[in-house]
Amino acid sequence: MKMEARGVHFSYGSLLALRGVTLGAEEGEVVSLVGPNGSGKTTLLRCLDGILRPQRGSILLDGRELARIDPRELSRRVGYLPQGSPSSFPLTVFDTVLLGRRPHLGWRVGERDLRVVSGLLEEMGMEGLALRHFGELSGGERQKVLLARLLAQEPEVLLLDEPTAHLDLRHQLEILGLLRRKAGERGITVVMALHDLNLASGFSDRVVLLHRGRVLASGRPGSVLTPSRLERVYGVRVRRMGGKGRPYLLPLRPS
Amino acid sequence: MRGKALRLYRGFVRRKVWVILSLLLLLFLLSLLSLSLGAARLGPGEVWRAFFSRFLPLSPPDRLSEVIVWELRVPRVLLAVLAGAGLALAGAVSQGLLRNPLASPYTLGISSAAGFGASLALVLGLGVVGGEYLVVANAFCFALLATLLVWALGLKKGMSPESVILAGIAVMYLFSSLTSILQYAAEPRALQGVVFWLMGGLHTATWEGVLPVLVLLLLCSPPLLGSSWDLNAIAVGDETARSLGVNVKRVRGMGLVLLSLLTAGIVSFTGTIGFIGLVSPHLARMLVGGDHRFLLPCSCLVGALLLLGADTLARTLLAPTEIPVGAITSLLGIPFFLHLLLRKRRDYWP
Amino acid sequence: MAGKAAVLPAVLVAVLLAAGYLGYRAGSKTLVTPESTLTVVDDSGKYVEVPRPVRSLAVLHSDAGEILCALGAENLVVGVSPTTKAKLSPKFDNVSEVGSCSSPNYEKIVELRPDVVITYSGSTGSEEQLRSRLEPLGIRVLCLDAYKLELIPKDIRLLGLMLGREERAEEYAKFFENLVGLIENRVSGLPAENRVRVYLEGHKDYQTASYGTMGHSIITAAGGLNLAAGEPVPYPIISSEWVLEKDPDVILKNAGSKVLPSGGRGLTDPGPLRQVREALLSRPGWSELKAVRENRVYVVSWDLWGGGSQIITLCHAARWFYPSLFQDLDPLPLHRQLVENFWGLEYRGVFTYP
Repeated sequence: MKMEARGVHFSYGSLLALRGVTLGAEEGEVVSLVGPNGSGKTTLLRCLDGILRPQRGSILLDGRELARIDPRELSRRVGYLPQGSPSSFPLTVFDTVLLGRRPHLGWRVGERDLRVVSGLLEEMGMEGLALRHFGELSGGERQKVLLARLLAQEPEVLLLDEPTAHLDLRHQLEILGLLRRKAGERGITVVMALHDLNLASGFSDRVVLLHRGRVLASGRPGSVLTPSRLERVYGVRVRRMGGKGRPYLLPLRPS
Repeated sequence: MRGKALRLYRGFVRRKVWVILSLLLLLFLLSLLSLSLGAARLGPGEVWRAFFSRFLPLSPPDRLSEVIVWELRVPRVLLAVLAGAGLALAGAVSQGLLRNPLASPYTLGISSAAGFGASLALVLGLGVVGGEYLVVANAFCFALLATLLVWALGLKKGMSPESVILAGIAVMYLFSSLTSILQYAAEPRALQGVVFWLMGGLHTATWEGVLPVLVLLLLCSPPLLGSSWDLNAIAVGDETARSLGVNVKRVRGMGLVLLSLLTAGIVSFTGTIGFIGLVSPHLARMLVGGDHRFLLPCSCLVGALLLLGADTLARTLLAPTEIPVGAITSLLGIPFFLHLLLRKRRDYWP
Repeated sequence: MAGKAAVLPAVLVAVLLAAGYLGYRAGSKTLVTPESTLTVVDDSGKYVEVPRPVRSLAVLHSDAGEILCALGAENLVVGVSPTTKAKLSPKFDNVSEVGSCSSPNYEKIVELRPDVVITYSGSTGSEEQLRSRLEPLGIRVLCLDAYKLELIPKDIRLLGLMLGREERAEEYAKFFENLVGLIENRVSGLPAENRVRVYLEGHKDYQTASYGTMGHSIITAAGGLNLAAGEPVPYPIISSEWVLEKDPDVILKNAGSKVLPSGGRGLTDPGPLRQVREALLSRPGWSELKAVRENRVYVVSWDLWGGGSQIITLCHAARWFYPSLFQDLDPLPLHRQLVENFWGLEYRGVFTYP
């Protein structure tokens, strides 16, 4: 097991966000966290990245307690793309992606760091934007730059919070496709929170359905995303279509 | 097409290095120009002879030009350069740490606290030490007190940029209202002293003032310049920075303390000099972009150039009457602000 | 390449440091060595050793400038403050400006090399700074607080001694002492209930003066009672209600430089002063005040609230407060004597109303 949460409890003051969450992600596995707003997806990602420390339970990376790993080492091995970064800051695209190399470098930038950044920009078709300011880009381009920043970090585990929010169809597919490819080629573990059940169904090896800080179901998309369960969690009637493995879900109306 | 991004980036970095080198040269030239201008009617020949006779085996200059150059002009030029660089550095770091283009050492309440300390000394003669350094020491102590207040209030709220900014503004208003009360209770001559102090100026520059500022700058600037990567990471957001291994709370807390210390030291000797800390980082950002590795040194140079230029104008425009340098820097600042406001491009700040 | 960029400021700082160190170790600093000296005590209580006789002076306030004119020593003045120049024009029209007490121009002072620089004492910090910067160069700093009426005779005699003009100084000092003494004599026996109660207003509306200010001293010396004597700040802003409640016997108003740019000099018509007075009388409710009903509202130019001229304001005040006691005291000839005979300036203008 690459990354594991065991009986994680977390509360913000009196507000209980996670109540004993247990889950694991294998090497090269793409895991989607789904669930309604406030179900604990973001809190769980923050716990997995070590930004928040669970009050009970533990997080393990390759079987080691996360709390015991040096923050610098952790930042080289686990990368996190939070939701809602500023829409503008005074850095160029290249500088922003180069930031991903920070856990690997001292004050000076090495030749390899520059090559990694330049390679990623080319791979994502953004080499022409290298010197553009972040604030000048479209929403989709921005998200791709931030993703490139995450990939430049070259971590073993990627944690992403709503990587496709506010994006058009093409960018949604591009970004999730890239993540799948990285997981397949390099054995990178991907854990991401997604709102769109169909994207989760289409791109994940495993779906984890969270409800009120608990894991309600975990497994292949086809076995987790059943209409009865979704109606219970979201309070919405859903029609399920398509194959058994990666079903397509059509929301009908609130029940 | 391989390596296009890399090529572009290399050119970009080279350009930035060139900008910084040119600014350095410009600063050197402006310093020389500023040395040769002043209220006393000394020809450039006399000034240069007096200046270089300390370094080169020249015939000794007459005592008058030596005193004017070495006791009055050189310390003043040095103080302008050091104070400008220090205030600009403090401004650039505070804008970066707080992710706010309007942040400056003054919005953290430092200068208004220093102003209150100075007023206390000028109006009531109260202070931590007596004698010639009464005003300076008082200003410094109160600036540190303000820093401590902002830091403690910020810490209580997890050092979020918003909480630090609000704490800074609260402290700023607290001390400026205390200063107003003192001004009301002041004798006219003490009041004049307070008004002059609050306007700021370098006419009090002496070697005894230059050396402490220099020492503070040498102590505070290496860790501040060294935090460039952390500042770049913080620009993208606290969460991203934390996931990149930056201890945001500590970087922000330490940074605030260091930049406040630097500002406190400078302001104690020069009074409140407006806008340098706010404007210089913005001008530098237009020149070299937002990467703090280049932005911080460039801000220092821009700040030094601005303050030295403004002070040179202040003491020559109506010589021998001096215009308060704070007024000139503010006048330089207002057109800039309008420009910033009207700027259409979104490449910059939200 | 990033490393290089950061090294630059460090190099700059190192260069500056080296220059600073060399500069700081500059050798001897004295410009002039006097042959014979005199030690005097100035108004800050410090012992100041001045050359004898003093050959040149720079004056940072007009109160000392007046005295130097009265001693006939204006030709020894090599530098003046801008206000001194304006106030005593044309005496110092061709003399260099050297800044004021709160912002002296060191470079100009050093260039002019006066034996003595005259400033105010006080906690403003500039006094210590002047001393520490100029005394190593052999330029003495003398604090004279001749804006205070009680110090004027002492400062006159001190300057007379320093310049070797004791006789003229004695005559000028006596001018002040005699008038102050005369007024004090006549009002000293007045019982408190017979003293006039005075409201003094500065050039700003409703700003009065409490204990310790020049206005308070003048009212008191003229035998009046300052209604604002006990207020907690020197120049309190009070409400109109307060004035109506106190109902003063006499109102004194300072006409500021906004309405009276020249201070009244060169004026032939009291128009601007009259306007100030009419504005006071037309304030709501003021027509009911005792001072207004009895026509005892007086306007005095700002020019007479400071330096040696305040003796004239004192004379006016005494006459306004107690007309029967001071029938023989006519301030106008005294003012003419001060300006023409002592200062050697033309006396022309309107300074008080009515």
